[in-house]
Amino acid sequence: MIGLKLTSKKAAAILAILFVCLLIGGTIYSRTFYQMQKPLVTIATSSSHSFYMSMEALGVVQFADELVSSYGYPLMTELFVSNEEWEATGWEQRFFIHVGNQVTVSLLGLWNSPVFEGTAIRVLYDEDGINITVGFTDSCADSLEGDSVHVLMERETVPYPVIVPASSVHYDSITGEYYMFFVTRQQGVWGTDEFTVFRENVEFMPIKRIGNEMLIDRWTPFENPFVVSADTPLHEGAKVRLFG
Amino acid sequence: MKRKDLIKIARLTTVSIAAAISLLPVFFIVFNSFMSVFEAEMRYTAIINPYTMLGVTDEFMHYKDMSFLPQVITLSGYRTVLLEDPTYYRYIWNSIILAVPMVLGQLAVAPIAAYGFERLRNRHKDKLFILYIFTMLLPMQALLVPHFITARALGIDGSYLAIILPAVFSPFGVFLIRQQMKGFNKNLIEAASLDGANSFRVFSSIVFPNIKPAITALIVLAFAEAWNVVDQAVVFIRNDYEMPMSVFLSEVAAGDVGAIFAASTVFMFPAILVFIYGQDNMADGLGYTGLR
Repeated sequence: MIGLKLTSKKAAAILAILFVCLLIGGTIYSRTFYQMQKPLVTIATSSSHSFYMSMEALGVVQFADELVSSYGYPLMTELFVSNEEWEATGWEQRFFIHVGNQVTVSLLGLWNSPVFEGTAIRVLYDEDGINITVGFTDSCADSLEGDSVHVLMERETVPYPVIVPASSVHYDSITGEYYMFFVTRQQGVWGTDEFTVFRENVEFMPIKRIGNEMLIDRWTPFENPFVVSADTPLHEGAKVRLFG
Repeated sequence: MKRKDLIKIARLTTVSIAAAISLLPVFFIVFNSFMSVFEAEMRYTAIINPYTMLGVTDEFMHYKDMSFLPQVITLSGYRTVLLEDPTYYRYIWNSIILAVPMVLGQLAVAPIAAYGFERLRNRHKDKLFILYIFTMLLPMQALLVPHFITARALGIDGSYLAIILPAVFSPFGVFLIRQQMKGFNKNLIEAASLDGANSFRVFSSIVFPNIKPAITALIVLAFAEAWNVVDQAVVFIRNDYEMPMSVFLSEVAAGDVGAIFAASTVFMFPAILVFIYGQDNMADGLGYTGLR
């Protein structure tokens, strides 16, 4: 009986020593080797740019009708942009031409192609495409009815879209959505900074790529830095190390 | 069969049933700690997956499907706790940092205080002792607010000291040890005094070695209380990462169900070891108090 008592005490002491060793070993592991096993990522912050969208169309000079002349333009041209042509540009309609937008009208056929400032007076959408009526002033009175004109419709995006590296954008084949990983900094359990990634879906402008960069359908830069590349696949909530 | 034997069998059966009921949660946790993450989620969470679809109610919930034994035995829970997530180590260390000073502090204070109460020659000492012991009758939650006000006045709110200091001066240890001192042979003390030993010498050389059962009982009970501290930590500690494991376990249950049983098993391991270490003396130590 005495031997049994001693045995249980000894066993408890040995197990306690092992437990302390496990704690010390585990703590060292969690603060060293575990840290090195975290995915290594490079991050960047999003930047916004001033971006111009443009579309060109050919038209014929006409004398202004009542509506156009009410805006003070003696001449006008009617343009038609078909849906096929429209879709080929890839822009969504809301980013493009609206009534009141300034356009540039170039008179074709003359050697110096004089340029006039015009305004979109009417923008009508139908099943086949978009009818745009542009009013303009021929200050030199060089153009005559029936002359061909080239109209450049161009405007700055407001507010500016965000451009990010293409490698930072991922595609979820199951949901069909694009997403990015963002990095947040928080205090780790041992008091040091710890970086965790979270996933967020992003929408694209259809133009998608500009070289190696992508245009994100977003008006303000992202609050958190995003992951540009990682040495291992990431997932929501993954703890990561930052490169550099 | 004699009546005496029948009574013995009945007693044994009753004790066995009571022990089994008491130990059931412990075995449940230990066995379930070998359960896979998927099975734990399937059984104990509201997560709906193809395996729980049949049990889904109209409110898109499914009932908990408790099981004593896992379908597949795996160490994935322990892998999460011991290897994959270093968070657990931090919280276990927090518990140790909190529990060890609480126990050592009681060991330093309680025997001396009990000796003082026992040897003090003052006609009011018993009234004073009753007043001191009276706080033991109050629920700990009732004392939290006075403790908090005191801790704030001392400027130690938000630190472990706010939890450790009240525990160090806990009346239970004094009560436990004084009860054993009452049964101590006073002739030995008087003999030592006649031989010229001062009070400290009497205490350290004669009294203390003879109250080891009570000291052991105090270690086991104080450690169990300190190791499982929850309310005080929630009230006094502000930083999440300074919480002890006992508080963190509730968060594990809410977040990582697959690891909760493994984490609970690891967590109760030190308390079980302390109990095994002190179980023999503990029975003698508690015998004097009438708690046994």
